[in-house]
Amino acid sequence: MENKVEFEQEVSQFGEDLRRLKEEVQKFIVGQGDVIDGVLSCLMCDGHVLLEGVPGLGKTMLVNTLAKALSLPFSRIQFTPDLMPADILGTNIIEEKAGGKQFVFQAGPVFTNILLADEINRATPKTQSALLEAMQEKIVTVAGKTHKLPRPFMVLATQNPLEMEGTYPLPEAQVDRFLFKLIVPFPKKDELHEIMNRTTGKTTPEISPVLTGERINEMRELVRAMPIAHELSDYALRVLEATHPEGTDAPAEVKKFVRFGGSPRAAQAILLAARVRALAAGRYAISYDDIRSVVKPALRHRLILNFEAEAEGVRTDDLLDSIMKKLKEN
Amino acid sequence: MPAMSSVVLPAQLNSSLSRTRFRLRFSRFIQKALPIWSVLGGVIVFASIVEHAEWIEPAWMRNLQWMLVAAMAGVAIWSVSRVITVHQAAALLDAAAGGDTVIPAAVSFARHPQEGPFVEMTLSQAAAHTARVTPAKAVPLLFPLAAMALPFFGMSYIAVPHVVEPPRLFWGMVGQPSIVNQLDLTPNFAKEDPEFTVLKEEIQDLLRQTELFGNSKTKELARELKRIVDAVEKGVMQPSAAAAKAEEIAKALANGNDNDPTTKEMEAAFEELAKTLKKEKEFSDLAKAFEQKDFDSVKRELSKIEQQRAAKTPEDQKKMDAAMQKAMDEAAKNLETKAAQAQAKAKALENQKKSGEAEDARKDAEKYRRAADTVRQMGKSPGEKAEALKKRMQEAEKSGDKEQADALKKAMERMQKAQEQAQKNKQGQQQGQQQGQQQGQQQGQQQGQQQGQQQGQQQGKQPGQQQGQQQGKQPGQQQGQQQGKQPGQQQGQQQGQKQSTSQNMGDSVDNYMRNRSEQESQQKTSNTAEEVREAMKRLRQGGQCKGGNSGGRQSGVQDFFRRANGGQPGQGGKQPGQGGQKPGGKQPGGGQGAGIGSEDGGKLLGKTERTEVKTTDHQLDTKRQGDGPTRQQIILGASDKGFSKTQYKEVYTKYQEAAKEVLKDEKIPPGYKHLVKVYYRLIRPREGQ
Repeated sequence: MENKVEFEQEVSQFGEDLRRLKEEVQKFIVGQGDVIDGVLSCLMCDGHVLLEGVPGLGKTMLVNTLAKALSLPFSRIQFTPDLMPADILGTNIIEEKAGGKQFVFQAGPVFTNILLADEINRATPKTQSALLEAMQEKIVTVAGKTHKLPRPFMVLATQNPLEMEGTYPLPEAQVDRFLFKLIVPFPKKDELHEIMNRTTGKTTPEISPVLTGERINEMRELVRAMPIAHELSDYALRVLEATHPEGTDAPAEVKKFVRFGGSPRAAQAILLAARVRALAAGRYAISYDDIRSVVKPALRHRLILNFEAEAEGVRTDDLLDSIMKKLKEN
Repeated sequence: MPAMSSVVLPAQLNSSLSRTRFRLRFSRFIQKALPIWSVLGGVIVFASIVEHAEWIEPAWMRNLQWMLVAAMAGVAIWSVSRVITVHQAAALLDAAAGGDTVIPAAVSFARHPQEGPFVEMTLSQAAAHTARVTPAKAVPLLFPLAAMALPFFGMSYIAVPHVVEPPRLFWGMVGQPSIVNQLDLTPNFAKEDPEFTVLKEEIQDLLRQTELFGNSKTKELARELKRIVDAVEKGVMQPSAAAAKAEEIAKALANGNDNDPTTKEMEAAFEELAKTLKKEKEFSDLAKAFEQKDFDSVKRELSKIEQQRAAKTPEDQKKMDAAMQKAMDEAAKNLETKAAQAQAKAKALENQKKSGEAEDARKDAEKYRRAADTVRQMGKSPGEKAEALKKRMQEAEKSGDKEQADALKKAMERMQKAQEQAQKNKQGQQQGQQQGQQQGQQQGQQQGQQQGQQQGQQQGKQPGQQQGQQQGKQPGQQQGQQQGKQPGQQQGQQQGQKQSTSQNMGDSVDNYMRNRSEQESQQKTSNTAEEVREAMKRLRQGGQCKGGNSGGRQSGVQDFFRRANGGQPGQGGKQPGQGGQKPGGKQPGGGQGAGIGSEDGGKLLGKTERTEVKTTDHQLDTKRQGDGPTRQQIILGASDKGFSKTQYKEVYTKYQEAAKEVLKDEKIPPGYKHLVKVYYRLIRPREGQ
């Protein structure tokens, strides 16, 4: 019985910590509740986030605030076309020491807990791919030597959907590494008022650290310990299958506009994020709603639309809506 | 993280899930099947109205109703037979409890076992959720509005037979008929109708046959049949009810006659006797006659033997009798041997568990045993035979073999009849003798003796009559003794005048021939009854159609019958019976007949079928070109050749008789016979033809 009580406390503490973290971030970031939830879910899932939105919506601010609230080291890289991989990963430099000159590894900005890759699509594919290994393996290899990245490690990349000239769209393989792609919407008017008040006044809100890196790792363990009911994981997989044009449950729109559906990584992302959502709500099992709520951020960047869809201006979110509308729970 | 023990799905949750599944199934039945039932119910009620109003063939409507009932059953099965998973029930319970997929998750964990604190906590949460909700809340039973019509349809269906009657409803729709029309509403059944006429003829035949050959029961059945048909003709009885009743009677008549097993025994006995008699030279012709089953020859041969015997000395007569008796004994022995063999075979087959074949073998054994008895009885007098039969019947009754007892009883009755007949013959002979005696008194005793002898000979060659011949030689002494005596009593009197073995054998042959003739007559009655039954069946089918609208026939068949009655194709009108002359009755030659052509032609001629063939047009290159001769030219050309001078009546009679012979002699199913008879009825000659 004692174990049960302890476990209940642990679960409720998870929810409480997450709530506090969100509150802390929201001290500075007005509105954008879904985006913050998405970012926090990725943090708890040990995943990376791709934030997409027009300039000035607070993407960088969000990441900054999150890093401060976590009291974790934070790095920011402004991606430009002339940015080289070594600028991100680091390089060996000659250093004179008592015994003579020797190569010493100079760690790049990637060696941090929270990494903001600002306007990631402006860097060349070579540089973008340098980030791939770091994101997936959480290691960096320079001059044949592998360096582990600190844990937790999270990349928050941003991209601007408007200025496409001189950009290098992220390749499919790289996009797939991001757990979520979050769309940062333009704030509502009352939110804008609040933003104006907070940012143009004399004082700015103070962000205090809420969670440590260790606590985040513990919370991640709890997320992965949660079992998933067979029927629910089946539902998530049916959603994934339905994104493929050849899938039996695929709606007509998918068959018409989708070239390639989501990868298995998408299902992993769905189930992990659904767990976080259930735990945040103090529940011990995920629900269909949990799955449905994470389908879009987990899948929208993984669907590759065909030319017809591009021509007709079809959005992946609309296709995902039609999939969820068609699919029955059981 | 603390570890926890494995978990089991709470009992309350299990129970709730079962009840929810049941309610879900029932709910599906209500939601899916009841609206469809309502529609089908409405159609059934409508079909019932149509059936009782007889707007369309009622049999079709009944079949339609059965099909609809079957469809309802199918819908019910379909609605409840869909798979309802536990997970579906769990999802419904969860939704009612407002739990975020906790119950389905718990069910899933139980079905796909997983351990850990999360599972434990999920199960306890699911139990808590289940306590808050009932299956009734999870699956509320909502009756669709359409289902409300079902009780109404149910009541309507019950009420329809009591409310809807063919004429009333029909009149209600088309208006009350005028007095003239009412007068015309005498049952179609009773109107001139070839089928009805044929039926009456069949019944007349049946009456004749049952009066001649039938027993009291069959006679009464035939008379009852006649009474029913008369009642229908007078309009006292409804055709459909009468037809149903009459068909039952005809069926009873058709099944009323059965074969007498003793005839078969006698056949077996004669067969064996033929073999043993063959060994004696003086009986070889008799044996041959037996072998060929020519019983007239048998009787002739027996008569010859009797004459030869009469010419012999008493000693030779004894020798002859002994030889015949020996042949009979040998035949009886052989038959007993065969019976024993058949019995052994039956046992062997029974051991081999071939029960059907064993039963046949046992029957054969019984037949041979009885045939042996028959052969032994052959040498005995009628009284002795009657006594033996009685004994056998009692034995059969004791052993509980009712079938055999009945057969023997019938055989006894027949024997008694035969003896009565013989007695009558004898009396006739005695009267002749008496006359002869009176004449003898006038003309001399010798002349009287001769006359009595001649009369006796003329009145039959029965052994009893032959006795009469002998008795005729001493008329004054025996006349008083013979009158009013019973066959059994005659035995005592005949002591000292014992019949020869050949005479007794002759009696047996006579008895056998009489039995066979009677059976043949009964068979004829059966055949006629079968034909009556078929006619009844047809008439009932026709009567059902006639009760309502007789216009619902196949037009092709109507045309056929119309033309058969002398009308032209296309004539006859839509309401047969109106406007035309009634055929057959007072004006038999009146052209196309009322009602004819709207009858059961479709059933008689069967369903038409269309053969799928591909046709190819060919242009024939003929020598003649143009439109050809005109119709006038054709007619004139035909008249130049001359018209047939044979009267139609003659042609009809010739063909009808030929058809009758075929119907009588050949094995034709009663349905076809009836069809042929109706056909000839339809094409019968009218006045002036």
